Amino acid sequence: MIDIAWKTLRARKGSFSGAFVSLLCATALIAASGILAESGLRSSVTPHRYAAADAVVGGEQTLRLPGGDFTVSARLPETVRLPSDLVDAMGALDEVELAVGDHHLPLAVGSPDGAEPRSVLGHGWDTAPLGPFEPTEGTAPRRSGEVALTTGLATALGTAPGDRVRIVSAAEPAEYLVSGTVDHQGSGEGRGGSVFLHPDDVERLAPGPEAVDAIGIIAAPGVGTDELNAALASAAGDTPVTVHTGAAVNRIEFSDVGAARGLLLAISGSFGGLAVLIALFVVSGTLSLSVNTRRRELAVLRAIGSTPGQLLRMIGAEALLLSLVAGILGCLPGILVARAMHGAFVRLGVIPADLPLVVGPLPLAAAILLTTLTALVGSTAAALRPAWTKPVEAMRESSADRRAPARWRGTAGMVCLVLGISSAMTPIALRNDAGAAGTGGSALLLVVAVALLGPTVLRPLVAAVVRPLRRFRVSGFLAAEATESDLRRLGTVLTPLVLAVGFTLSMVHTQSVLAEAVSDQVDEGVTADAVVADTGSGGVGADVVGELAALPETGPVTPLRETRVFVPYSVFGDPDLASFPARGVAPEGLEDNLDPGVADGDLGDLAGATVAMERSGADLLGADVGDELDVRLGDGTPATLRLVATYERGLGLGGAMVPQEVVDGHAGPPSRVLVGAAEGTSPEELAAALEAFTERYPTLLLDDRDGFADSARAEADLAAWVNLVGLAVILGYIAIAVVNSLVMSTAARSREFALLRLIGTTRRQVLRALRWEAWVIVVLAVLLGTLVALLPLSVLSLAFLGTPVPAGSPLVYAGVAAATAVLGVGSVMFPVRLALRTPPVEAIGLRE
Amino acid sequence: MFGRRKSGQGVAFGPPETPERTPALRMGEVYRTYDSGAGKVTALQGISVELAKGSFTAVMGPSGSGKSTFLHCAAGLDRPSSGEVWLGGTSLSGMSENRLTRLRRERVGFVFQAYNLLSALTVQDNITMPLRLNGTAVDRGWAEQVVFQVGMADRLHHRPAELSGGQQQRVAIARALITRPDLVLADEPTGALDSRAGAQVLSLLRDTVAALGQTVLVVTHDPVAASYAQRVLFLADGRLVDSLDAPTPAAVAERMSRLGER
Repeated sequence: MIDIAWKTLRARKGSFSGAFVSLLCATALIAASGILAESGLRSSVTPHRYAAADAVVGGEQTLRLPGGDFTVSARLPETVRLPSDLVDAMGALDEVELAVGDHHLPLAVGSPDGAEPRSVLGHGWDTAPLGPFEPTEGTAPRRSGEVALTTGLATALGTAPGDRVRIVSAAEPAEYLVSGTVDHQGSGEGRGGSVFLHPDDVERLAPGPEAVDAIGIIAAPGVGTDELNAALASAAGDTPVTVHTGAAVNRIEFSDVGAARGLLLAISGSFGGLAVLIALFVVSGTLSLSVNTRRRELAVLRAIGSTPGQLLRMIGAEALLLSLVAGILGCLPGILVARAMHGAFVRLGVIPADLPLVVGPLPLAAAILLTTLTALVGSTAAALRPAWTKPVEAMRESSADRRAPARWRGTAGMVCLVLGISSAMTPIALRNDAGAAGTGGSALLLVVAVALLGPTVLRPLVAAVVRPLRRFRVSGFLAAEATESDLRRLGTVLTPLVLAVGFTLSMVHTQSVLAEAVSDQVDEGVTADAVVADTGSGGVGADVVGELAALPETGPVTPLRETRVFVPYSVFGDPDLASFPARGVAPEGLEDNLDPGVADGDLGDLAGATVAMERSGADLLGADVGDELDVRLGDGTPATLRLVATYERGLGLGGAMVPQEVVDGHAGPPSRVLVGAAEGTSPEELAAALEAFTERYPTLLLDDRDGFADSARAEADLAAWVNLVGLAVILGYIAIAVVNSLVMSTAARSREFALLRLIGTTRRQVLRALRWEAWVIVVLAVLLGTLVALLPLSVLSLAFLGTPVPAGSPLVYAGVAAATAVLGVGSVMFPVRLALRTPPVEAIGLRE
Repeated sequence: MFGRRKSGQGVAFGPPETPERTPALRMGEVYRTYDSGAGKVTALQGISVELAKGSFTAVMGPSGSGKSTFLHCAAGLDRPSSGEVWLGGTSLSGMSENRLTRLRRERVGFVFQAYNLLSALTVQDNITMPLRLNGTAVDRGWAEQVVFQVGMADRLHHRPAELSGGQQQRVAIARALITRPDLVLADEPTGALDSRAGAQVLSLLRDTVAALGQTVLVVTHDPVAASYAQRVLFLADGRLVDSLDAPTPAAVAERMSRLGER
């Protein structure tokens, strides 16, 4: 059968080109998301500061649930620190020459005259052998109060050994003496330079005593990696640790690498999931279109004695050959798409520029495999009915299939419809990003429902749309007849267009609704008179917050410590992990600075082991005020918290609030502090006082509520842009699919056009009729696309903004409609014009 | 052009005189009813017929008389509602779709009005397709004989689109013969051809009976086409109502016109 399949493919390059393009693009799309996923798993930045370390030991950064499978896990946002005892225990091992505890101190360093401070990471000089770093000029820091700077950093700051620099840690500035400049003994400067402090200073500045962020290991001479790993693991005992060796140490060295890899994984999860679904959907649609244009041939084969199995094997062999070739050719564009996406993410600043893309064979092979499997399943599924019909019936219905659609299509369509509608309701139940994800999923399911229900949905719609066309004697009449005569073909070409319209509208407007909701909620929820924010020194330390509160002009002061909490819960008996952005707050005077819109309970009870949650989040967990919740903090530490209140404004203010004592030692200092005016102090007096205060603290910035709302909005926008990059790629793919299926189905009708001309229709009348047909398709696509997007968007908007009209620019809608018109009309008219070039007598003679 | 002579072997048709000689096709009391929107339509009402091996039979009848259904039932393309069909001694009743297909491609050759060649394949691939489907090797001697008989030996590497209608139908006949079937069925084989090409195709079918010893059943509404057969069966309202041996076009036309009066 393979050779017949091959001969058929070669003889009909033209009619298979549509399916080929579709398969090639699908492979490219799936490969691109696979490459992003692999990069998320494996990409690394060349180690610099740990270049000479044989191993680096860190905490277990992945939160897993006992009893849960690998999907039930989360990356912990806070560094999981290790007890200092471990450093000594590991240092005492025979296999270890040196074990040194390292701290990653976010510092801002600048010259004392107050030039713009730069954000760098500070480390103890005792970690220098891990580089290794050696002094080039001056000496290493010998006593507390001395620092060594990498040469590049010293040059950038314009300082030399003997000068003084100002180093800000947790907003608190202090002056240090530059004892020397140091250089890495392998490669150059590394990213942005490093500051080496005396170990005593590190001890003092580190967030908690008796713990380190990582332990750098230099092995004793002649000790192999496996031997070292085993020794380190046994030294760790019960403490969960991860030992990184080789290039993998970059995961601990660069905290943004971990975050960026997490982001890449998250993107490839959401974008990749969507891309794979859509690609598979489009590929199976295109292949069934291509099988359907060959019904007559299949009938002949049946009549001359092919068994149904042989027919399916032949169709399968064709699909196999086609998709293998298309798949292999699709890898290169796949790599290019992944590169382009990576570039876009770097430009958005969500991925460090030096984190490269990893292009391995695995995602490419997986993409080829997945496309090939879909092609096989899609085409054999489409061939099932022609293959199993009796040969006589096959001959009879071969020209156009007029039988009622298979019953399973109706059933599956209704199932998708119900699932789509229920998925549209998720934002009501869950008012956060996860709930909003239901909106996109709903639009997608509704498109699938429309595709499956096909003629049933289309018949009344089409009848309504073509009615005015029948007033035109020739072209309009022909267009109306042609459109109504084959609703199944119409359904097949319409599906990608509806998908494009519905998908774009739902994705873009979901983002704008979310951004709008975030900034609205921040606007309404933050009632403080001023906001003090830290820029680049790791947050506002407790002492600085204390000084701020001690100012006579300030009233209630509310630090916002941003972290996450994780709550295990069960979905239909399966363990799952809910993740909520959380704020560690000071309960005193909280309600003066924040109005989260309390729904139940009392924020005043927020003290000790307690938590307040956004209402729908608490509902998801089935928790009522007064219930005890078992949660995991940002560094994985378990805690039992009593739910004391639920509130409404979770999108802007975070899904959970805990007293800051709960997160002490488990989260960094607050990046923002909300400040209210003291009684009798006017906002202007407060502003003046804070202005003077922030003068003394070089990394502190005075902001107001609008600024807070703006930055919240900017964060939401950034998230939106990250999603839109993926959306753009998927849309590009759908656009190709649209053009592809329209060109395929129009080109297959060249005999019909020739016939029309032979019986006396003029060229112009044929063109006009086809243009009407194209417009009918465009109108139907925009209509159906709007419908499938509008339902979930209205629900989302109602749940998040209180109005059924989704937020977002009307220009988006106009643009989508215009693009649909251009694509639709263009891809119908191009093959028509081409077909009309052939003299009709010749065209009619061509066998289909 | 060889073989303008009218059947020289015309004794071997009709009911078998020697019982051990199995007929190529036997139908016994075959009924076929369809469910249509308006109710039940009976296409065949008790057809009983036997075709001897090596005979050339035509079935005639006005539109709607059940010709096509008769042919499809004979070929195992369609199943009778009741009654039995034997192809070369094998009963088709109760056969699975797959077994029926296999039996059909081994024992029956089919020639359609619309040729129904596979446009992507060459003449040679089209002719040998049933063997390929069967998984049997090409019998070169037989294949060459068949190709020579249909006169397509010099066109083996052409594609159907490059051939005239008559040539395409001859390729289709070669495809029907390639498996040495018990029975070659032709459904209006000249319906799409002009009279000259039609005459060539019919002579070819008749000569095949003579030269290769095949059994041929042609369904047609054209008296001239029917006159090439050794025997014509007349079908009206799903019943066999008449038959004519050694027919001439005039005699066939005359019987047909009487059918209309019944």
